[in-house]
Amino acid sequence: MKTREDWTLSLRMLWAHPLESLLLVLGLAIAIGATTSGLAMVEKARVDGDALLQLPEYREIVVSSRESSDQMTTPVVLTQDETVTLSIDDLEAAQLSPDIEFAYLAERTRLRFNTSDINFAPPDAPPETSDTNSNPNSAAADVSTENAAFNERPPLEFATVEGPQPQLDEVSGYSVTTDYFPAMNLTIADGSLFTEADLLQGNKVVVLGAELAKTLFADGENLNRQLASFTNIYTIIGTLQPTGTTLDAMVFMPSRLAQDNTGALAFRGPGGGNNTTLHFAVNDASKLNAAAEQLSSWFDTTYGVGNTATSVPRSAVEQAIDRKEKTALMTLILALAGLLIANVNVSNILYSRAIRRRKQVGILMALGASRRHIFNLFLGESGVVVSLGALAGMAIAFGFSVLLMQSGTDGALPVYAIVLGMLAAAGIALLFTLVPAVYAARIPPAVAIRVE
Amino acid sequence: MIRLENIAKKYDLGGTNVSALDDISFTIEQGEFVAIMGPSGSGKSTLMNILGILDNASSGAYFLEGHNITSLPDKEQARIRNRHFGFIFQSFNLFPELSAIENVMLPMSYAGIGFAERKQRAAELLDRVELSHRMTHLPTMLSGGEQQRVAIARALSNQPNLILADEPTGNLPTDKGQEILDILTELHRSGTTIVMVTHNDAQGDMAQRVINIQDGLLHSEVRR
Repeated sequence: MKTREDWTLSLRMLWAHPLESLLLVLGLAIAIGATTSGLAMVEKARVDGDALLQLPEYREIVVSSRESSDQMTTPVVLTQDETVTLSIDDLEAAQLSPDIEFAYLAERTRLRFNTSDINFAPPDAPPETSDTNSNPNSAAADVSTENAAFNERPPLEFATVEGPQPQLDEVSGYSVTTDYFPAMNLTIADGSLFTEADLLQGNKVVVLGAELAKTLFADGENLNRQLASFTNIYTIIGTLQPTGTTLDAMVFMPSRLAQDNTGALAFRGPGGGNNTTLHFAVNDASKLNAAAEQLSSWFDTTYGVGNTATSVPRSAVEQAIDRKEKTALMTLILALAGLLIANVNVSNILYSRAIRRRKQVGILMALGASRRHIFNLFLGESGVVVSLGALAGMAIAFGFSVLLMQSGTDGALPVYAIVLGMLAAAGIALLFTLVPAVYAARIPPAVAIRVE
Repeated sequence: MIRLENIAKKYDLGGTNVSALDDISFTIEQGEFVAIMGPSGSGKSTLMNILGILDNASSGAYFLEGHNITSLPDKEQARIRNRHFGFIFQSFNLFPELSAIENVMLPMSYAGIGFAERKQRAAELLDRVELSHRMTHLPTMLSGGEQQRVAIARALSNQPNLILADEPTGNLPTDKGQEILDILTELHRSGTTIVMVTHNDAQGDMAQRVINIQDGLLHSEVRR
């Protein structure tokens, strides 16, 4: 154990050589800061990757008709002239594999409310659409439905509702089938979810995300209230539990169905076309590829090779995560190399200090210091240097984390990873300082006392 | 108090055995003032190191108060040095980073004495060597004589049985050296055992007994 006088001696020895001590601390700070950042980056890549792969959408197989081939990442060679229309019956393909838990449709949509200041279009021109982007084919399902109806030029009567009006002009969300909710781990907080019957009968009902439910009406009341959007009136039948995701601010309504030319109930997609994307969620991610092969084979057999595309989004994400983890690991290896070099330098400097202080060691031993005292004295000094370097290194790592966050390309590094990384790097640095401490403790007192 | 029996010290210098001390035997009684004299390279410092168990003898036996301490573990040797011996060096060997009082307190910290007690005792010892007005001064702010007085106070801090003084006046002018010798004489009168290495015949005359070492051998032992 170091005594008060030992500590005084250690600290004043450091202070007696301020430039040397400062360089020691600075060298360690940079090396420990880099290593800490590297370790935290590796941990962040791992945690982020795990969190991403936990998302429900990465336990899914996506089957698309060629109608949406422009949305695919790889080119699709069209082998037939006819567009495949996927019907609600195709969701039954989920029964091919016991690993497929849910099968659903989800298409982005938007509800624009008929508020008092809405710009109603004249009867001979189409009304303003509420497209989610500039492509009219990808506009919201309900708006597209209204457009199609408008083109048939019936006299338009925009719906109106009595009572409280929504505070928002429009909300975005998804038109979905019933399996969407359990597949995305969405559970009801108030009211109810819509049913298969709502879907088949085309009922105008909506379910609100948790945040949207708080803000849609001024009084926060939602259940059974009605929303007017163009010619339709939607009834709010439920609100969801919060998820902490963007889904909380969204609205969910039943997918639109219409009979295709074979009489099957096909999905009506944006612009009145047929919807093209089916989602099959598995209960175990390791079964994704096997289930995807089964589905691909079934859709190829049913609709012809090349007319549908089966993809597993998880694969692309896994590759991206792997790349990110490897990049972080390379950064860590480089930082560790820097730490090694810095530690060797620090160890050398402290070793030379121990040589310079042999006389002091001899005097301390004559006064009654044991080898353990001497070892602790030198290790204490090293500990002060390493601690200061570690604290400064941690500050560097936090600074790097803030820069990362401000750059917008990535989030902050996990605090626990920074702290643990700093402790690990400081521990390694302290191991290197054992060498001069052991050397000093082994100096024979009779030799040390003779040094002039 | 101290008994050396056939102490020898040999060094291995590149395969050649060099004898620094050979067949040294003597006793030192409690309360004695003994001077060790001899020319440079005669083995005086080696003998002092062995007496202070800063070095171990190659052969022979060393008894302290009847206990054989020839070969003890490091921790035990450190304890004996701390509790039983007080060292005074020619070049004072104070720690320049510590104040006078901190230098005196240092050996007491190894003895496990509490901070308040060692501070009080250090202040008393500095007062005894007439340096109470210089307690917080760093050694660099003290004269050579003052530094050696601080070193004496430090040597006395754990109330040792034996003071080992290695040419304590060697780096001091005559008048300051005399002050140090006066303190040592006073300590001897109060019952402390003193072993002093010196080149100075006059200082040797102050001792009750002079042990002469030449070429590593005990040349003569003269009682005054």
